Amino acid sequence: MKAMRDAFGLALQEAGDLFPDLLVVDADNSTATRTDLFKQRFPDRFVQVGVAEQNMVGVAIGLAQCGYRVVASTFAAFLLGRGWEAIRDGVALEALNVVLVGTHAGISVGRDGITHMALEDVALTRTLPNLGVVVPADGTQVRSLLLDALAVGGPYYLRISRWGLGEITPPQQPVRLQDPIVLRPGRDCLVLACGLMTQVALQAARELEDQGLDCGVVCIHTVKPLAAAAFTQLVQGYPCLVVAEEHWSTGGLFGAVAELVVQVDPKPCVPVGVPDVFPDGGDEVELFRAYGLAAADIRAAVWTAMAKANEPRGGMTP
Amino acid sequence: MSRLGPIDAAGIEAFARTIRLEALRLIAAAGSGHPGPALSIADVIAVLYQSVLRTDPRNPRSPSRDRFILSKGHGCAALYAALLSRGFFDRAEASAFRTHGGILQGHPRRSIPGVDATTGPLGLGASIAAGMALARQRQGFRVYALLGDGELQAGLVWEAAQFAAHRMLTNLTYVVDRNGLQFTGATEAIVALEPVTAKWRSFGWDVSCVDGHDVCELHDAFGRAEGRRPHVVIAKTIKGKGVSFMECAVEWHGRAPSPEELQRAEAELGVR
Repeated sequence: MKAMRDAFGLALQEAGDLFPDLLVVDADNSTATRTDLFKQRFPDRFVQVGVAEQNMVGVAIGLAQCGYRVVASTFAAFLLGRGWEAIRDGVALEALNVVLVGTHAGISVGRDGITHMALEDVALTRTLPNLGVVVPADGTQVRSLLLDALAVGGPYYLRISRWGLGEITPPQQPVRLQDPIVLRPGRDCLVLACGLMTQVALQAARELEDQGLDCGVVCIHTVKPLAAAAFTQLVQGYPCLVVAEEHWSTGGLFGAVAELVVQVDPKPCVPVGVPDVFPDGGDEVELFRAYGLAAADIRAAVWTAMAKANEPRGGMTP
Repeated sequence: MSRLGPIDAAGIEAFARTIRLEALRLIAAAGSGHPGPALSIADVIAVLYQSVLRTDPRNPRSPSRDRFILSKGHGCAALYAALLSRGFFDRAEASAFRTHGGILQGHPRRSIPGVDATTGPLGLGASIAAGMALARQRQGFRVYALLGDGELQAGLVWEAAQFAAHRMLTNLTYVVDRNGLQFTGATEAIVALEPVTAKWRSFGWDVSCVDGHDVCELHDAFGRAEGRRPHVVIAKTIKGKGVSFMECAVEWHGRAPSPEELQRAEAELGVR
């Protein structure tokens, strides 16, 4: 089973061949983020700034403004935590050709613990005009979406995990920015997921099938922009929705979906995400269970959503 | 030995006076802005735009141009005045300083002809300049960034400074506007910066200390032959320079002159 970061490292090597103007900037994490694979093949196009994330983004801005295509990558927690102002006032404001890649996002960081987990990065980046926000679910998506983002021209924020839960994108499935991937059609409830939670959602849907429920699963890898027309079509006919993400339930994919649902097609919408606490570190599987990201949590959310959908609507309860 | 040609000191001084006047008029017309920080850098900007930078107002995005980044973005009235005077845009556009829909926003935007980077958050311009210098290291043109002295309190400046020295970015020059005052008081009272020169040397930079209002000294410093290190020019300046009641006065960091005050300032700068 290939970890997402390995897929990222290999895809970046490929991108180096495809785009001769591509430079990669790192803040002393290349062996963990796998940008060292790019460095090995293209040493002259690799820029090391050291433990200086603000400067990493500033240097990326300068390079991009001189005509280069730039990937700037480090742990999502540090990229966003420290690079924020430069991301906002440079990369996003000036709509630069920069793909920011935040690795080790979510609680699957595992034993390094809370300071190394980004649980708010999607919420933060999603607020910025011009900046696309992409959360691939497996190695296939990492590769396709990275190459797509570089071809289209940034700015994008690409969020990837240290971990991997296996490939779920069907072999012939086209993977393009902005196009959600319907992994499983259904009738009773639609589970919208991104990142590693897509695999967990598929597992939950299979288990619910044994209980007689027909759940759809869609991978929303591009959290922003989330086109209203395509989204309306996706959720049409479903009585309720569940949104699953490896992120705090505030402001991430659940926020994006909820904001859209209330405008285009109001219906019950239940989140599966990290609750409003600072999680401990530990074993990844244990963390997913402890913080509500297991298949059982998605199953429970589906039942809750369906119960809400069956409640009588309108008027106040006496 | 200087990289630059002979200097027309009188011409540059006249240009600096124009920059001061135009900057104050922009700020007065807008009813807000930063006069003190603009006046202290007028001579630096005049020297750069008259005798140092290779830029072309008719082709402001030419890839081979020298880059100038006003990292202390709040001093932008002086930069806008210089760009206006050099013909990067016309007066009709300039009249809309700090207004909705006007190109001359309250802090520099890269969308303005002649402005090479969006700045305002202190330290960011220094970092962007380092990235540009790296991009152009082998292509023979230069990157200049002008920093405030209070700005040196920002960690990002020193992240960029270490990086630039490590990569031997000899095409990069920072200028520090060492006027000794920041928004709420004296730099040395707020968080002391001295010894500034020793700090830059220890970070691996070549350092020149000059009178930031002496155009000949500035010109000589910018013309220094390239060594193996990036170069910082510590320009000793007076905040509010050129207008007696604004000089060394913290309260003029960020308030616009009234029409009467503008008139007095214009008189001091030689307008009858």
